[in-house]
Amino acid sequence: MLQHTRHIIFATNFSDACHAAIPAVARWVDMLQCKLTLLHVYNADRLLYRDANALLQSFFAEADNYPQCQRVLMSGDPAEGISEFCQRHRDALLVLPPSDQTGLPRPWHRSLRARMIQTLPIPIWTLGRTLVGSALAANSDRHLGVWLSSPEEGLAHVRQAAQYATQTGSTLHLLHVVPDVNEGSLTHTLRTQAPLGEEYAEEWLTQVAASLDSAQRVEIHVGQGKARRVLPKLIRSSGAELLMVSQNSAIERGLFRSEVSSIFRECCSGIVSVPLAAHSSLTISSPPAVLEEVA
Amino acid sequence: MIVRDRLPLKRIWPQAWRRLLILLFFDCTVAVIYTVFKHHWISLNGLPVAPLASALTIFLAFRTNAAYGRWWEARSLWGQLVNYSRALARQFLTMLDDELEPKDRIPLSKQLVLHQIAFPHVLRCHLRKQTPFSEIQSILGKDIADEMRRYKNVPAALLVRMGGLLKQARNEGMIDSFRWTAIDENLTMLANIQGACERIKNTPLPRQFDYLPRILVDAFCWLLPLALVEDLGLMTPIASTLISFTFIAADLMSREISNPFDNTIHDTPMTALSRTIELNLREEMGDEGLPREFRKQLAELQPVDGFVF
Repeated sequence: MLQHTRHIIFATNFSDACHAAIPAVARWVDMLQCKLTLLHVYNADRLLYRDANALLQSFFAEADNYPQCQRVLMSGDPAEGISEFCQRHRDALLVLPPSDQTGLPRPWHRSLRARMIQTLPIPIWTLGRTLVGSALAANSDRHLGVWLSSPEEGLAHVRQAAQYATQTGSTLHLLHVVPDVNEGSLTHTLRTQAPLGEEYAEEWLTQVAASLDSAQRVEIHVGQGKARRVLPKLIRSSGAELLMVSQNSAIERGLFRSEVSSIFRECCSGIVSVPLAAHSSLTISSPPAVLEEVA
Repeated sequence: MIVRDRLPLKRIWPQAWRRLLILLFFDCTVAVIYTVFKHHWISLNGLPVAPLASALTIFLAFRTNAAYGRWWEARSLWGQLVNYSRALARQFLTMLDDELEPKDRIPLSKQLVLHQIAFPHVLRCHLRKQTPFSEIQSILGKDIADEMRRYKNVPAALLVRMGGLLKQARNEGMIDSFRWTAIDENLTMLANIQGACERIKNTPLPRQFDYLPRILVDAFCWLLPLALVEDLGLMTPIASTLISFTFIAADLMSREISNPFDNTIHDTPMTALSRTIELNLREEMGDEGLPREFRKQLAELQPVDGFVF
């Protein structure tokens, strides 16, 4: 899916995180030779069209020099706007940087990224945290990581990553974190079939690697402990510049709301959430109303 | 670059809140221990804290000056780049003789101006570690973009190409040695500007300048409530946190402006400046003789949310 991407949709609210994502987007556009759409959904009650358009025209100004770039301005609810636009572009990769870190608690905050990851049938690229000034995103992807959290999530994202790694000549790194063994580990086996020992995990990943025909170079990395602490270490030690995860492990479902998994908060690489295969057969019951305007 | 009048607190807060929260907790603890539990031994005479504050101010001022020096030098270099780009474009358009017979190519003078348009874009990408090839492709064509992919230092390679085009012009009798020398001097200035930008990018502020003020700010903020508690009692946390915030903010801001090519809001506005150069040079050059794919309709850039990038 990713290697066939011919269109990148960069949804922006002009935040620092969006600016920080520009080098990565530029690299994607160049690597995939694809079309770029800069999408902004503004609140018509708070901002005039003229002002919103001026902001959009000045954001990522260098994209005007890209061979295929368009700017799309929509009004309304950002989640609905982005969702509606993406539903009509199934071949796209959605770039959705995180919102700026305020350092203040946000009890009523509903994660836009989590909603998009849950509902959209296209892969979504985001960042674990804002990488302002980092050179990481501008390097070429020679190391591609895939996080396998459990056997239940399937291997669709691993296969896609393998295809992508083959096409780009990257090394594929299979990453897995074995949970700490303690009294609570008894319930772990009730919830998942994920291995509880490092040796078993390595064996499982070796089987997975053997089932991937397309990947050229595969390396296995297993760590034990809390995923939030160990996964960033595994990413660092593997040198992976991009991490592909399944839709299920990308989000954390809470009682009242879902959000992007806090495991990625300390991850310094770009993260691509790959949708479930079943989503690709989603159909739209009626054609959505055209709200956007090519600015 | 920030162009709005006010710097919103939310820009500083994300980096300061952790330190401030811990300090606030410490300040409250000190105030309660002193006032409620009457442990008066905890208070510290203000005398040693005052000289520390003075020394710290000198350190901070010194580092802020050094950081500002880097930021201003970066801005000056890009100002020079604007000037030299205009001068070179004028030289390309007026000092190269017209081609004697029409050839199946863009006229050499316009090719050189297009290269000059590409140079600031490429230098910007080089400094921000961003890929420049999409822009090169759009300005100079796919063949040249593919050729440039072989180089690690693309701006330098572009200058070599411009030198090559000048040589070609000389071989074709469009320019004599004197004019070539004059143009080549300006090309050398572009290389100098690139070198100076790379120096700022690759040489950080000496670590001593960066590390010592941070340690001293922390030490001062921890000692401050102990010095204030005798006079201010339960009001200590308010005064202490406010004073600490002043020092922490000064510490943070000077650190942020010390890296002017890092794709942040404190950057030299390279995107806007390279757009200005492109607009100026395209205006000087005109569209005549250019194939359709090389023609552009671009607009001036506006600040986004008070920031120019």
